[in-house]
Amino acid sequence: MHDFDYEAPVDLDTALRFFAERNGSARVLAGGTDLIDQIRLGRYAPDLLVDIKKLPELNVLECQEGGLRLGAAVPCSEIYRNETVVSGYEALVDSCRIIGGIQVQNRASVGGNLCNSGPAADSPPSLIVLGARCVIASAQGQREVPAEEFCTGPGENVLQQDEVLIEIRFSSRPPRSGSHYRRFTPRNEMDIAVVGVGASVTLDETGERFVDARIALGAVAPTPLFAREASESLTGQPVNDETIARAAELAQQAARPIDDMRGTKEFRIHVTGVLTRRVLAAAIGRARGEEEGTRIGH
Amino acid sequence: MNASTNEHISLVVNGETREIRAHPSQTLLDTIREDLDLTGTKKACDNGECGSCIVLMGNKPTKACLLSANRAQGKEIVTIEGLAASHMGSGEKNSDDLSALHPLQIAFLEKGATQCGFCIPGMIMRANALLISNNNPTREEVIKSLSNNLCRCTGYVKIIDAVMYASELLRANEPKPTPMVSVGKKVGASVARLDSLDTINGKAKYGADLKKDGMLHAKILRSDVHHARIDSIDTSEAEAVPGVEAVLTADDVPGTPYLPNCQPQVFVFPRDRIRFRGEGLAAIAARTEEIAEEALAKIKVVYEELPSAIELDDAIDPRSEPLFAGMPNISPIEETGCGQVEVGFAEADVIVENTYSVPVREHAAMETESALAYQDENGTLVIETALYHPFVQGTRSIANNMGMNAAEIRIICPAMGGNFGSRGDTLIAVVAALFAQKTGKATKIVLSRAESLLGSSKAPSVNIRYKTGATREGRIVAVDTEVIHGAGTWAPYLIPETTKGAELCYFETLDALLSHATGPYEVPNVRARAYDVLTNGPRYVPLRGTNANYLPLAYESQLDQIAEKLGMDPFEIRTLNAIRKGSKTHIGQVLRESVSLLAELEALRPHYEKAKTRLEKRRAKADGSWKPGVGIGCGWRNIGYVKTTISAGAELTDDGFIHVLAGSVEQGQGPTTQLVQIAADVFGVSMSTMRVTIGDTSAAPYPVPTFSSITTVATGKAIQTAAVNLAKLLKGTAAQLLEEPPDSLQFNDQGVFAQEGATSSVSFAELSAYLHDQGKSSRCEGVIEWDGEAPNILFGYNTGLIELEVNVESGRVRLLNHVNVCDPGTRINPLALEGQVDGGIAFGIGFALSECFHPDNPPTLKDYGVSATTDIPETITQLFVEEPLERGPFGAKSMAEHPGISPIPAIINGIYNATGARIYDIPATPERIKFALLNNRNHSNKVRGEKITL
Ligand code: FES
Ligand code: FES
Repeated sequence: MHDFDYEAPVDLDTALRFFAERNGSARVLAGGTDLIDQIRLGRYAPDLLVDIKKLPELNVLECQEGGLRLGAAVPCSEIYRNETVVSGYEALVDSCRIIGGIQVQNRASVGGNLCNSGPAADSPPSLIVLGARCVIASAQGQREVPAEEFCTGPGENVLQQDEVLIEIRFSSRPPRSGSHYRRFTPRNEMDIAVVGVGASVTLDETGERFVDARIALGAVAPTPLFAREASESLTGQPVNDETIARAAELAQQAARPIDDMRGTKEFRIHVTGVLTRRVLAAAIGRARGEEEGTRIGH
Repeated sequence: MNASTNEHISLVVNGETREIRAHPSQTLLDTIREDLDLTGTKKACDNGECGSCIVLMGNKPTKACLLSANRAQGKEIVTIEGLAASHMGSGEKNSDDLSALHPLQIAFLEKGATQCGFCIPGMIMRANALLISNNNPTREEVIKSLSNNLCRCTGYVKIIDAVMYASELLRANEPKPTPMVSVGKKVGASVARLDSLDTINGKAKYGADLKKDGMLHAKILRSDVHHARIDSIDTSEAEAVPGVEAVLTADDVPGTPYLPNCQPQVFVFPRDRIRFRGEGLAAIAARTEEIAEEALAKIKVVYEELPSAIELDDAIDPRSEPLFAGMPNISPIEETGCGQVEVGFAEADVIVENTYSVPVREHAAMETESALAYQDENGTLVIETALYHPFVQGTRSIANNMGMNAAEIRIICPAMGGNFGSRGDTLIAVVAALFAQKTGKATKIVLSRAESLLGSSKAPSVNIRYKTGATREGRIVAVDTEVIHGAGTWAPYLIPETTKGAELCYFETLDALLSHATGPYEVPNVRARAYDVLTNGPRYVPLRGTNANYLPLAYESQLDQIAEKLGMDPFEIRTLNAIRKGSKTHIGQVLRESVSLLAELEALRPHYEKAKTRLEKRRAKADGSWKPGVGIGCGWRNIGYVKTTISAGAELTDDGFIHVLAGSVEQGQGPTTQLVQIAADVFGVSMSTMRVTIGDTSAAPYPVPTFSSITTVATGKAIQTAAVNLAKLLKGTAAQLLEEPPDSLQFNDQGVFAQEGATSSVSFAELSAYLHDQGKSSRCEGVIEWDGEAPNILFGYNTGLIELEVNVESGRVRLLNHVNVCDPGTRINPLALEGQVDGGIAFGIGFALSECFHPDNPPTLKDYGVSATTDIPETITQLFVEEPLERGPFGAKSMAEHPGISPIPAIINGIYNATGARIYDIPATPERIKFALLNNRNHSNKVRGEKITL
């Protein structure tokens, strides 16, 4: 294994200074992931690794007027136990349950899941549909990137060598909104998603018309995908089988999957359609405050 | 590694504060296993997929392989070794004391939840975390919480039972029952496995747990291309790495290539050609694993890639280049049969013909392969490694490769974390042994999961063309089948004539496959042909059920299709054609002993009727996309394919224990317990007076393989005979001492006594001392000839039904209920037997629905598709018809491999019954089902030529 130094600073400025000084030879343990994952992935061979998981900025979990602030290292288990998150950001909770469940880790985090930037990762579709913004810090200052622009390729993202993902921010949810994330795996919970779909909808007072909708897809492209056309096709439309089917079709068209051992292109496109319909239906149900009557499963 | 970056870490492990230094890249798992020497926590995947490394960290279940040790700084950790104490509170720490066990440990013992035991510590720790947060979980909650813990042996049912029982014990808060370990129960009684106490305490030592002072660590360089000509291998830079002690390439292997199962063309390392991805090319031994790994990366292999053929369709192209010089890639065709097929088909009113395929499959034993080699004080080369036939594999294959005499090598089998046919490869044992010889230092090698998945030998891919003809009444009158057996880079036909039949090494042939061709049915006209094809895939070895497991997909699917054409019930067509006592098989073998298929079908009938009634109800109220269905399947499997002489020993130890010795190995299937049970029954004493030695070529020199379902029936019988002989010797000796007639003497746990209530007795220890003084050995042997009508000495049968639901939108399958009927002859240990059946069923489910290996896309354990708790049917009913086998011990016959057969066709037929989608290529993944439903047959199911002449 490559030889390197290791630092675990306790304040953000010190951490950011390391990166600025080391000029590219220092790497961060991507916000919220573990060194072990990074090394196992063989992703890089730095001279200095900076563990930033102890920084307070990465551990905030705050619901305020303006929305939700989620530190990049907050464990999934804390997220899905948080009442406000559960009531307002259902899709995020759906994702966190999956990530936490698979890892059997108290430490699996949304930030980590995002920074690994796997095409089939379970958090990005939820972050995208909830309109999340990723807060990235360096010694130069901070910038925000919309969740749908964070990943740039399989295992790749917008983070520069001196940058750290510190937080994910969500606006507060309009009334009559509901969201859902679901994935399809061939067998059981352990599997990696063949397709993952997230959707968020906001309905008008009647509950019969979409004010706004966002649909995002996982595992069907090199990066998680915001299905823009499918989403926009619903704006101002009535809630019915046709509009939902139309959105599902547009989602299928947006998908650009590959063949691999978990599923062929054709199958992934097929499942994208089925899941989009289901996920939209569930999000609508949640927006209307209906009891969740549908059987969870596939 | 830079020592300066090592961090000081302080942990509280099992109540004790431990201080260590670890590099931040070191996992908590390695810290626990290597630095703290707590090897009860297992490493099966090192990748977060299997749960075998779970420990409690602050009462939360944590996969130690995913966590860097420094993140456990200051945390409280409980491992399996500390579980009992953590429950009892400090003070009581002696986990050998049965009363000090944790309720979960007691429950795992009582419920027979352990087999090879490798997954068990992780299971127990995961379950413990559940019970800490919820001491009254539902079965569903248990299933869900264990769904990330893989077990390859048990099929999970007994594990789930055990967790439920433990929760009862915890809630009852009464004094705990003392588990029934080693109490005086014998044949026919459910007893806890003798080795399970070590398993549940985390004390059992598997290969990777073994250590020697100053030992070296070896690593193998593996090819990442499928096929290439090797120009050169340059190891000079690797040798220069500080800490590297030796390097091996093909030039350093002194002996003649002679790998397991007489594979004369298989070299430890290839000299000129890489033939499959994952093939070992060279090896390095170094002071640490890290150094060895670093040095591996510095070996320079110059090669020229060649075109490869991995799919059978590509490999049968006659233009493909021979994989081995001077030897064709396709074997001669083997043919067998009876009657005249043409005449049979002319008589048939209905004919169905299809092609089917089975993919390459991996054994996926939870423990990866390992070996530790060293010279003992006498200069004997000792290799501690898990092999299923330590005699032939060890004393011949390894010795030949080393250029040594078999007698110079001793093989000791440590606890084995599952076999299923995979523990036949001696390659790593040879590598470790060569290093030990070269450096004079103990050398250990442990394969990573990725290496094991990529490079280990696998079960073959099989393509089958199958044509069945039947009369209007449903009688099968003709079968014509052709089977292509994809052997990877080794095929049985490569065995040279001269070694055929020699010893036990020649046991897998196309003959065996073909002798199962018709399924367990009487068919008057049969032509069955098969040939081997070499591919650029991993080497071929058998896998649980082997030859008997490929064809049921075909013959049972065919039978259902014929029944459908004829408007018959699938059940009736099977009863009508079932093979029975006195039937002659298509290879001319008359079945005289223990032919139990009809009895099995009759046992299944009421369950089948009920399932059909339920199906109707389900169909009536089925909503949405889940469609219910019922499928049945039958199968057969030969028992003890080889003719051989099998022996075993029994003796008195100096300290007065009855000691049985056999050449079998413990691979999780339970012979240790079973053989002791058999001997205890002969003496009428309790199992606690017994000792057993197996799996050591020096200490128990009774060559016998542990394969082909032979252990219970043949070795068991040999043990019974040896025990009878010892009993006779002891009674004779005691008769002289007590001056009583031998017939009046009886055994109890202490020794021999004359009549009930009489005071005159002699203890086993005294008898042993007396014999010793006389210069006599107490060792008695039992020898049996395992013989019969070749090539199948005997068959076992399996019958089953599945109730399932298929989601027609996604293609997912949910298994609701499974009934499995087997014939064990006699149940020696019902608890252990049930565990074997559960395990077999889980294998069958995996084969039918998920398991598939392809070297282009080497899977992880998770991707490969080992069944998890959430994959097994909601309910399983096991039924046993017992037709005692006269020559088996107490009438028992082997059956560990049989129960996995029927689930495969039952699931495939059930999917058809539910949806009308017929699956020809397993595994029946959601995708294949979905496309079969869309009738897109060109997509994943190849074009089928069905000829129906009704
Ligand atoms: S070894 Fe840690 S989960 Fe498999
Ligand atoms: S007992 Fe679970 S893997 Fe063997």
